Amino acid sequence: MPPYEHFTDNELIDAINQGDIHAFETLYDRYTSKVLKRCYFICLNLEGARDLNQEIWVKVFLHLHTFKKESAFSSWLYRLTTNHCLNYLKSKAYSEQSHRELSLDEPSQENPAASIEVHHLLQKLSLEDRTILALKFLGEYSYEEISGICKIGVSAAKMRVSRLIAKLREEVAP
Amino acid sequence: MNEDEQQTFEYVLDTLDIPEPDPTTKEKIMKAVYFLTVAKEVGAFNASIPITLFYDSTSE
Repeated sequence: MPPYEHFTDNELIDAINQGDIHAFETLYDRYTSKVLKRCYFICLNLEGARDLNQEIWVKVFLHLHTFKKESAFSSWLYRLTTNHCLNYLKSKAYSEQSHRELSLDEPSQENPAASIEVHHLLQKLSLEDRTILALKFLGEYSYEEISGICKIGVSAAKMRVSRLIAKLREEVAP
Repeated sequence: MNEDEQQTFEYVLDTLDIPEPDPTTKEKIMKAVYFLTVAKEVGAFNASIPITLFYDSTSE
């Protein structure tokens, strides 16, 4: 078996497109933790994030041939992740109230204090706020695109992002 | 994109310490990928077989 761990993302993708599923395993190992964290950021529920992570990787396999290598694979993957998670929330008629009830007991026992602070900070953000942050920083959408998706003005989108980042920075940044 | 903002966001994600994905998740995904690969190959194989080969020759 080739030394896949030394392959670039694009080399792995070429191998996968030729039917090599071991290359897919390497790609999964490389990015699964990052995808899981992004799912968790959006849904704030570990079980839900795990299910979404699983669905996303099957989707990645099915749609990998559409990745044109015009941008980094990670950008494509994180955008797919963002869209999948947001669609999931929408399709489940996600209720902020039930989400809060579910997520209150989520912090992992191994969490250092800083992580628990972040967890509580994210709980304080509304779903809409987390959606805007996810679109901007996970999905790398432009302010114009965010404006269209969230049905708010471009300057309002910019202001929201800037305000939310200031809030995050104030509470958790080093 | 504003680099500082991106950095702050990445820091928040890094600080979010959640357990690593369960190894059984990987098993399930790899099984699904395996079956999808086989299904794709079988589909391609069937498509390439001339239709006459599917006729029941024993009835002739």
